[in-house]
This record gives sequence, structure tokens and C-alpha cells, in this order.
Amino acid sequence: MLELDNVSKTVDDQALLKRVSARVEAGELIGVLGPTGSGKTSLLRVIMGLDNIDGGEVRYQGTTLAKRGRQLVAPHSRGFSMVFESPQLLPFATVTTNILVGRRLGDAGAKERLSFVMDLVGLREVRDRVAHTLSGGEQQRVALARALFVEPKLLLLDEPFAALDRTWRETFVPRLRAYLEERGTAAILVTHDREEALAFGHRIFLVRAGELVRTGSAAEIYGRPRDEWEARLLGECNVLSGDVARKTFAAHLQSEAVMIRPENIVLTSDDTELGNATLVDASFRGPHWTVMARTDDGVELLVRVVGEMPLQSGARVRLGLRRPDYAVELERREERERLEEFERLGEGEK
Amino acid sequence: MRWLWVILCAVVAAPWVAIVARATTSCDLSLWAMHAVELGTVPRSLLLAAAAALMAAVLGAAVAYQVSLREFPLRRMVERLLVLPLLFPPFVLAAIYRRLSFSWRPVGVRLDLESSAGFIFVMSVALFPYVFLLSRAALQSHGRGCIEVGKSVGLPLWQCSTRLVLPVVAPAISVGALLVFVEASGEWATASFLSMPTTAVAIHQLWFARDMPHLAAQLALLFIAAVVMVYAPFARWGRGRRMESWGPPVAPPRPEQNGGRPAGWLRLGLCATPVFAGFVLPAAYVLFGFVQTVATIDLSSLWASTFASATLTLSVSLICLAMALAMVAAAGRGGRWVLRGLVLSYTAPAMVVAVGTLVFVNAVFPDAERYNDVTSFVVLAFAVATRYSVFLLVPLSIGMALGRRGIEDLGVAMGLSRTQSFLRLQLPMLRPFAVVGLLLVVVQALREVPLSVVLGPFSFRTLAIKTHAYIDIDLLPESSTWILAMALLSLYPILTIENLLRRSR
Repeated sequence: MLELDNVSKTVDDQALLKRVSARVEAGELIGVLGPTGSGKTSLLRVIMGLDNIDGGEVRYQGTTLAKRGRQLVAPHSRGFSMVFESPQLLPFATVTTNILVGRRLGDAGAKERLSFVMDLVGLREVRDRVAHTLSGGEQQRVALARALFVEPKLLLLDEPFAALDRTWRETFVPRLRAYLEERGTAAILVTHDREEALAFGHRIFLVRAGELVRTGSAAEIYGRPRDEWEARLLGECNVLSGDVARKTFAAHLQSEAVMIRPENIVLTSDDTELGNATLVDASFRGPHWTVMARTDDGVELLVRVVGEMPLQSGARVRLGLRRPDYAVELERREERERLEEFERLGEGEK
Repeated sequence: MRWLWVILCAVVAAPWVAIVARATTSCDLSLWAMHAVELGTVPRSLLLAAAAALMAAVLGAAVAYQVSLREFPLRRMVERLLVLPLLFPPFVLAAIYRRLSFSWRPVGVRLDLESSAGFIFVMSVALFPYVFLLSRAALQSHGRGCIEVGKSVGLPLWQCSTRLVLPVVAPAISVGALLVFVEASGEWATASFLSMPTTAVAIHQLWFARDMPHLAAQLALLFIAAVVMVYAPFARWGRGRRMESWGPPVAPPRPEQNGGRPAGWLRLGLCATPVFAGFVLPAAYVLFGFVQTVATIDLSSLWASTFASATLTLSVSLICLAMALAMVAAAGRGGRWVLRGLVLSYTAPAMVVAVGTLVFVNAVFPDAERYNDVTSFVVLAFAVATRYSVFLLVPLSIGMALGRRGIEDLGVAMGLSRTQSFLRLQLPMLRPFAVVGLLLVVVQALREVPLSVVLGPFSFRTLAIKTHAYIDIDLLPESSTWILAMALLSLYPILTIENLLRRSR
């Protein structure tokens, strides 16, 4: 449905997007993760048509929307809508007026839709209030409602939940996801909150320095990161590198690094791969404890313990893996990048 | 600082007390039956000013929109040139265009500058930069964000502009238009050159030509009441519609190129026309006049006028700074009322402030011998400062309101005393507001005419007065040198204001 074909975007000699190719199917929900300045917002802006691209093509259902330096379909004619990081409301207009900016109440079912959207984002109570008197979170919800009210074919969300409180966000994200799935609306959510991206997306896009470095399902990318950068971007992890990894696991280990998620390490009494360790610190995180343990080899490991935490700092423990395959071999990023560059050059020559 | 604040209140109130006293000493209203013409100048002045403000608003907002959000050839250069009409006071433009309209008659072009349309044209061309500067600042901060939001919910560009951009920049356009309205409604020199019977002209005639000061005072009060009636609904509408409630700017301005090359040239034409009318043509005329008369320039007179202008401007600036200091130090102690008083002083025609001050001075100095040149200059400087201090004090009060509590809290959190907090945190934040305000005061003081004519010492002839005197006896080419000197003195402040307001996005 939406296709990005080698899309590039450069501003002031700085490449914001480098040959990005991706596909978003109808009704698919995508979470885009990446560090600050990696090109996530630029990606949304070129899809929406707010910025021109310097190379490649943006296509939607076979129609080319944008080519190098040209918008073939005007942004307002694409049937997309976008929620910006800043709500950008009419400050002196009411909530209702702001929601109706994109489409008036003329068409059939508009009143019901307005009512539904207000309920979805929880704005019914403040519908007659002037926008600049609302809190930051309420303003952001108005911006969400404004985008949803126009019934877009593709919804682009640029960190829209940043100003929302966590409790509300935790209940709203599943509601929004269900609403979009029910309507078959595709959506791309840009965020730097990994939990939010994992909870929202059917698939995850990882963006680094303007490149789309990985796509895949949330579980796949979380469980099988290819390198340390991906592993750390998606959650807490232990990376055992070089000699330690080789000694701990197996002599035939191909990689120079291994990643283990803290929840995949257990405190045990059996002989284990990870061996003996001393408990350094244990901090309570609500649903679980995060324990820092130092192995006899001097390697510090994070361990997630669910339920009671009977041990104190200084206690001796044994560390084991839940399953041997939970230790994931990581590639060295530099090598992989060299290989990919080599492959690209090869394709170019062909 | 409280004593300074009390003096400030007294200075602001004095002309008004004097005018009210003078207006009520003779309550023979039957005299107005014979002066219905003067009475009729009130609605006429308001209508003329409203038309000029409307035209300036349309012109200023349109060019601000183009230079802020659209790309076209020579955009950056035109953007800077658009403030330059402020170099010439409206009466200079009026004189130049009146002369040009005479010159063009033989080739069949009929331009009657001495008409309502002529007055509106001159005032809007001379003053549209007020609207341009304010609306450009608002557009550069929020215009692009509005357009992107509109596009993102499926609105075409024209609907983005009407439904989103216009409502957001409307307060800025309105403030600019209100400035034009106030300036145009009280304009005396331009109106008298173009033979327009406005209230300012009528007050001047009643007071000085017909020796009817009480009628002049009554007319002044009536006019002020009418202006306040226009201003009050605007003030109510504008309450709370300040920049701080717009939220932070979201994206740096990046003008868009669309519509192709013809559209770009059309935009250039639209933006260059007011530059041509308000700056290029008058500047060319003045330069031509300067070349014609350069051999006959009286350098000592030029130097004396430049010195007089500089002295007046410096004195007015110092008084305004003292007022600002008093306002900042005594913030909250009736400051809002003093500010309102100053706004009233500005909304009244300068001629009204002049006669009010004159009445007050006559009451204080009944013995004419004690009212010497020095006293006269001090009175003039205070009157000019009282009238134009709003340009400094209003931006400062906005600056003080912006995040004041946050700054105070930050000062406490950093362990700073109140004075240290003011000097290290608040003052740097207020500086841009103060610089812009002070430079506007400088520009206004340099081109001020009515107060200097009425209150100034006999031998004290500023560049503006000298220009006015030359133009008054139809010696426009001879006035070129003085106009040029006035423009050169105003150039740096105007360009600095333009630069500061452009960077303030």
C-alpha cells in the first residue's frame, strides 16, 4: 500500500534520510524507533508531503505521491493525517472548533463521529473550553482527535503521547490500536519510548542516522537483535563481549559478543553457564526487581526477578539462563555495515 | 523608587487634568452651533484613520505572509527593504506625492492627493511597516506550523491560510492596525498639508488661530472619548490574546516555492510595490532635490538642527528609560493604571497632548519670564516622552509578564537575592524588549512635529521642524538635505528593529 523506494532527504548538506525503502500494508500499525535526530520525524514529513525528497519515490496504492523535488499529489489530497509533537491548536478557539478544523459537520454521520472521537480521547468534559486554557496533555489529545476526525487512510503520529501522563497513555494506546484495527486504518507511530512502540506496532522500524536499519515484528526484533545498538535500543540487556562470552558459553562461538535480556537470567542453585556471582544491588521496580550481580570473572549482569526478593546485597548466588538459546549472538555492526555497503555497490554495478 | 513612580504618575496625568479643567471652565455648549464643522471632524478623522488602518493591515499582512511563507526572487532583500518606508514621516511622503501629482498632470494622469483617498494612501504607505513587522514576527513563529497542520488534516493552502494562519496572526495584525489607526487619527502635519479637516487640525486652528482654547479642549475630550470607544472593544477582544498563549514556535521558517516562476515574480511585484511607493520613489525624489540644492546648503543650520534632534532624542530616551526603570521597580503598584494613562496619552493626537501640556505649563508658570528656553525644552522633552513612552513600556510589561514567576522561582532555587535575580535573570530577558522599544521611541522622537511646534523653544529647530517649515512654504527641494539627515539618523534604529524582530522568532 504505502511504499518508500530509496527515499533520500538532505538539508544543508546533512542527510536526514538515506535511501530509505519500506512498505506499509493496509491496516498495518508501525512503530518507528530511533534515537534523537535519527530521521524519524523527517520520515513522517516526507510521507505526509510536508517536505520534498531529494531522491527516490513515495508511492501509495500504486500512485506516485512524490518524486525527487516534486510533490505529485498535494499533501491535502493524500487522505493522510498527521499529529505533530507540538499540538499546534488555535489557541483562542474551543476544543470542538479545533477538532473541526479539518472537516466541518456537514457530512453524514459527522456529529456521531465527533462524539465518538471525543469519547475516545476523553475530551467530552472539556469540549467547550478554549484551547490555551487546557493542560499540555489535553491539548495533545485535541490534536489527536483533530487527526482522527478526518478519517485518514494513513495516520502519522509524531511522538503524540509525549505530553500524556503514563496512566492515561497505558489505557489509551490499546484503545487507539483497537480503533485503528477495527477501521483498517494504517498508522505509523514515531516515538523514542520503546515500550510504546512495541505495544503499538504490528511491525517495528528501527532508524539510525537517517537509515532504516531493521524492520520486523516487535517480538522478533526484541528477542533477536542483530547488534548491541539494536539490543540496547529495545530494552535493558547484558552484553558479554570478547573473551568473556567465549569462555562462558562455548568455544565454537562465532560472534565476539552475546546479548542476554535480564528477564532471561535466573537465580539458581544448579551448575550453570553463567556461574557464581555476588549480589551488588537490588532495586524495586514495581512488577519486578532489577538485580545487579557481579560474576567471579568480574562481569556485571542485570537480572530481573519477579515476586519476592529474599536476598540482600553481598549474597552469593548462581546465575543461569532460562533457555540456552536466550543468549543471542550479536554481529559486529561495523562488519555488517561494510558487508551491506559492499552488497549495495555490487547491486549498483549490476 | 516610589517617588519616581509618583512623579511619573503626575507627569502622565498633568496634561489631562489641564485639558479637563480648561474644557470645563466654560460650559457654553451653544458655541458649538457655530462650529459644527469642527465637530464633524471627529467622525471624519475616525473614518479616515480606520480606512488607513484597514489598508495598512491588508498591505502589511499580505507582504508579511509572502516574505515569511513563500519563496520568490530577491525575497531576503525585499524583506529588509519593506521596513524602510518608516524612514520618511508621513508628512514628507504627503509633500512628495503632492508635488509629484502636480508634475504628472500634464501627461494626463489625474492624482488628487488633497482628498480622503490621498490621505489614506499616504498614511497606509508610510505606516504599513508597523503591521508588517508585527505580523511577520507572528507568521515566522507560527505560520508554517499552522499550514502544516492544515495540510495534515486535508485542507488546501487557501483554507489553511483562512482557517488557521489568519486566526493565529490576527492579534498581531490588529495591534499593528491599531498603531496605524492611532497615528493616522492624530496626524496633524500630513492632514494640514493635504488640507484635510481632521480633528487635530481643527484643535490647532481653534486654539491658535481663533483663540478658543476651551472649545479646543472640549473637542479634544470628545475626540479622546471617541477613540477610547473604538479602542475599548479591541482591548476586550485582545485580552488574553498575547504571544505567550500561542505556545512555543514549532519550526523555523522555511519559505515554500510553489506556483512556479510566474507566481514568484508576481509575489516579488506585490512586495516590491509598497517598497517602491514608500521608500524608493520618495528617496529618489529627495536625492534629486539634494543634488539640486547641495550648493546652497547652510551647514551651520544643518548642524544646529541635527544637534537639536539628537539632544531631544537623547533626552526623551533617558526620560523613557527612567520611566521604564520606575515601572520595573514599582511593578504591581498601580502600574497597570499608569500604563493605561500612557496608552491614552499615545492614543490622543499629539496636538491634544501639546495643548494640555501648554495649559498646565501656563498654570504653573504664570510669569512668562520664568518660562525660558531651558524650561521650554524640559517641558517638550517630557511631553514627547509621555506620548511615546508606550513604545518602550508596553513591550517591557509584556516581557515582564513572560515567565516572570518562573524566573523568580529560578532565582530562589539558585540562591540569588531579588536584586541579583533581576540583574542576572530578568534583565537579560527584558533586554530585547527594551532595545526594540527604545529604538521605536528614538524613531518617533526624531520625526516628531506637533509637540515641538507648540512647546519647543523659539530657536529650537529639529530636523523634523525644519523640514516641516520648508515644506509648509512649498520649498520641498530645499528640505531634501534635512529629510536626508533625518532618514540617515533613523536608518540604524529602523534596521536594528527589523533585525531584532526577525531574529526574535
